[in-house]
Amino acid sequence: MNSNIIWLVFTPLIGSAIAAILYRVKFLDRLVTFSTFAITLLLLFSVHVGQSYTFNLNFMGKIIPLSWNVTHLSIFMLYISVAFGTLLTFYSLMDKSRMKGFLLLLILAANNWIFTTNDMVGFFFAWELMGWASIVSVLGGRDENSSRHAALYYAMMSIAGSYSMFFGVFTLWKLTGSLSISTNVAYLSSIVGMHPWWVLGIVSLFFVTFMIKAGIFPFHTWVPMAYAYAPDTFTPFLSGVMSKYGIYGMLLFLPISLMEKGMPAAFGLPWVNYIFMWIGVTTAVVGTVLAFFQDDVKKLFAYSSFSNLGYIVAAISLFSSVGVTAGIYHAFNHLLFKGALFITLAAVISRTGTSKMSEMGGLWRKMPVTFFTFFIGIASAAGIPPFNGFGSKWLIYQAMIKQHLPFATVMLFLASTGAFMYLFKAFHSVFLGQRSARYDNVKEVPVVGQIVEYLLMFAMIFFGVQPGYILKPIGAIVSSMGLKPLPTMANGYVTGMFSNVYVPLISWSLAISFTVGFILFFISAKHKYVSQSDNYTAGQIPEEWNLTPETYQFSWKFYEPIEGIFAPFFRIKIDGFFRGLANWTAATSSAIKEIFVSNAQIYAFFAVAGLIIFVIAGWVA
Amino acid sequence: MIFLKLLEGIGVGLLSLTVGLLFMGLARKITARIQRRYGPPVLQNFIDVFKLFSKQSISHGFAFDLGLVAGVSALLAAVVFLPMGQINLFPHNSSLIMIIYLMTMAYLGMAMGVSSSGNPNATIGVARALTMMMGYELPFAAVIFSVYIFAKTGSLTNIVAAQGGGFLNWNMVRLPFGFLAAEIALQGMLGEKPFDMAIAPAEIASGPMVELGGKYLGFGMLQHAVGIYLETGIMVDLFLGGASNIWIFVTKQFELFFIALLINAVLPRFKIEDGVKFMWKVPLLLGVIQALIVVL
Repeated sequence: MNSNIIWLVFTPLIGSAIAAILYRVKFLDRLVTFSTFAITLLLLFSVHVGQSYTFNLNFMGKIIPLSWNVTHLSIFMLYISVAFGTLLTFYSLMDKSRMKGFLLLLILAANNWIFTTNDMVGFFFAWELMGWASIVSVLGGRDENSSRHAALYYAMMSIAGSYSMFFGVFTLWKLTGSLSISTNVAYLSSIVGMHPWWVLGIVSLFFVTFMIKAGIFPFHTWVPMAYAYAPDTFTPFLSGVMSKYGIYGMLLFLPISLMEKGMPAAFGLPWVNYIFMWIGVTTAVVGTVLAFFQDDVKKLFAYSSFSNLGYIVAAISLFSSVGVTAGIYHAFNHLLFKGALFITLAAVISRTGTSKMSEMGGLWRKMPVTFFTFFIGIASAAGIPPFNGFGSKWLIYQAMIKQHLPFATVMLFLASTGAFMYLFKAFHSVFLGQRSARYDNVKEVPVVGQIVEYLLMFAMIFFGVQPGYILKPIGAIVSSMGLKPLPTMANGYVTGMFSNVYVPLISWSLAISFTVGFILFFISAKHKYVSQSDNYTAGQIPEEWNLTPETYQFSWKFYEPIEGIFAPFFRIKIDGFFRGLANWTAATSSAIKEIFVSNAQIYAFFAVAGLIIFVIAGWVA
Repeated sequence: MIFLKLLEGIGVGLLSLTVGLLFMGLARKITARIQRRYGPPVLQNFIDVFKLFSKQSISHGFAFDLGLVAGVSALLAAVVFLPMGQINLFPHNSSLIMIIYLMTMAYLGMAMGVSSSGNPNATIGVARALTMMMGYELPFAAVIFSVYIFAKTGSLTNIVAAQGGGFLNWNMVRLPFGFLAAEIALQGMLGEKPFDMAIAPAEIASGPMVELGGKYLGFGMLQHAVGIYLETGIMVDLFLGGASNIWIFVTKQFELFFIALLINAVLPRFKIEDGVKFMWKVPLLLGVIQALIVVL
């Protein structure tokens, strides 16, 4: 018996209780949160692959076995999520937002439970705990009204997902009599040849939940709201870690499609996977296009997250060894760079007090460390070598081309180019260009924040240059799923693909060329630094035209020319569909209510009519 | 061994700079002759670069410096992976996607540098360039992935090797629609008319170049030079069967560049949205047709 697994769940719960008691004293609350995360990270060293633990819960005379099982996938997810959480809570030690530490610890408990549990009751319970704790966390945003609205919307989507999963759990329990996830997945795999539609139906019940949590098209509508209006230090966790729960769930159920025999294929894939792949590609493209036109910087990166999750889904839906490797690798990379980006945004917002891009600009001189972290973050997100986002994007293309899917690959490439566009927009509008006079006294984040930023920069470069450290555990995950792991060498030299990339070589090439470039820069003629107002203004004197830094900054309607191209698509509102559904439900319910409460005669009429139908039906039968 | 590779790499960098600057000089001469002018000497761009690097200049801060240096350096880092005739430094590492993403770093550096100057004209130019980039990358991606699937490899070395054995094996002949689409995309990539909205001297004061002077403008010119070399070089490897030696390689590059110049000399400029729409109509359609032919 390896009871240390359940301590992964209990430690955060205890920490959460302490933090809840201390929550009035903000610093103590944050300190307890950080220490609990750190302790959990230490506890992880005692957890190893293959450990399991079972606890029979006696619930009103019925034995419910709660079981834990540590797989390669779970240990990988545990490490990356807890390590990132530790960094984030360390950053938030000096944070002023209204994020509550005990809620984050509840999510951590749920996080550890989700990643280790092997029974559906535990999974469902942890899922609910995570969902509700995060919904309440969203409530503490800067703008109270908006965050309340966002939390409500998120809650509605979450509830819909929970119902769906609840049906799935009970259907499976009814069918097999077992609550174990692995048993049920094996059972579904064994009957998929005979009853493909049944299996598809049951699995989609789960997948709806996972897609809602990961924010996959068409269930993405809560993502921009919740990400944008959540507390600034909670958004990194929401985007970096919590969106991966959906991916984890999908990876649990995806092996079923491997045994696909009864289903026709499309382009070398089972057609369900083919459709799912296109859902992922659509997500990537839609997220990118929507991100172009945002003014709220957190909303822009929320759409960016949504788009990146599309990449992951497209990759894992192929369920080839390259695809799954690329998907998990991108999940890790996305956690790292998007976490870093949202942390730098939290830093900027805490210093400027606004998240509107049109109100910022020119902050790079004032916040150089944050600026460089953001720069490396967007370079990673754009997939530029040698930073960490490159390897996974490259692998995703390889996986797609290997399946001979040129159109999906082209769409992903478009999403990637588009990503470069919106990333540059955010970069320019926040850090470059003219700085308004009201930010003249803005300071760099405190030392604690700078340490976290340096660590994140280091991580983004390190895992970009040495991808082997991540590809090796992913190889173990892939082989534990019954796929052939990629032939990777220690330094991340992936071979056997369409083409080879040896990342350290790129890094050397860049290092040398940058050295040469800087030598040329310093041996050539001298330069002198000038202020930001010393600019070409077509011969006009700025003062005569009342030209201020604010009016000389270009950040409003950044990509106006292409707005017209995408305008027809903006008329389609997924949001509107859900709203329409809600209105229709409300109208129908009130119509039904009318029958009972409006008029006694109408009620009597319906009662008699119902009785007559009942009697006739009984007669005929 | 490593030292030798280093020297070779620096040699390739110098070669690309020289050829690129020469092409730019020839471009000025040819355009002038089309417009019935005499035009500057062919070596004028070399003179310009030397002059610029020896002039004092103003800078807008460290992001400005870093960005401009990154613009040239990242392209030079990418150019060593390009197979050019018998010069092929890393035959096992010539993934096309990798080269394209390395080029993206140069654009990011340049964009960061010029935008940090705080001149809105520069940023408008960058925004236009990025918009146009999304326009031409879509058809170009369709072509790239068609070639990938057709040649069953994504390494430029192997793509060149697969086209060996005569003119009829070139991808230009085998994948004609793809070649046409890529040619139009190349026009956008080089920033020649009708796709030169990013520079647009009459509208936004040369866009990204507005705040550049002295060595910064020199870096900008060098970046353009390596950019021309790299983009035409990729096209030669993809469609014109590479080359057996560097002279033929450069000749083939110049042919492609010459076509782009001729189009540049006679066409006016698109509006940005019209340019993107054009890219997503004609070349994309050609690229999609090519991809369909390859897959089916």
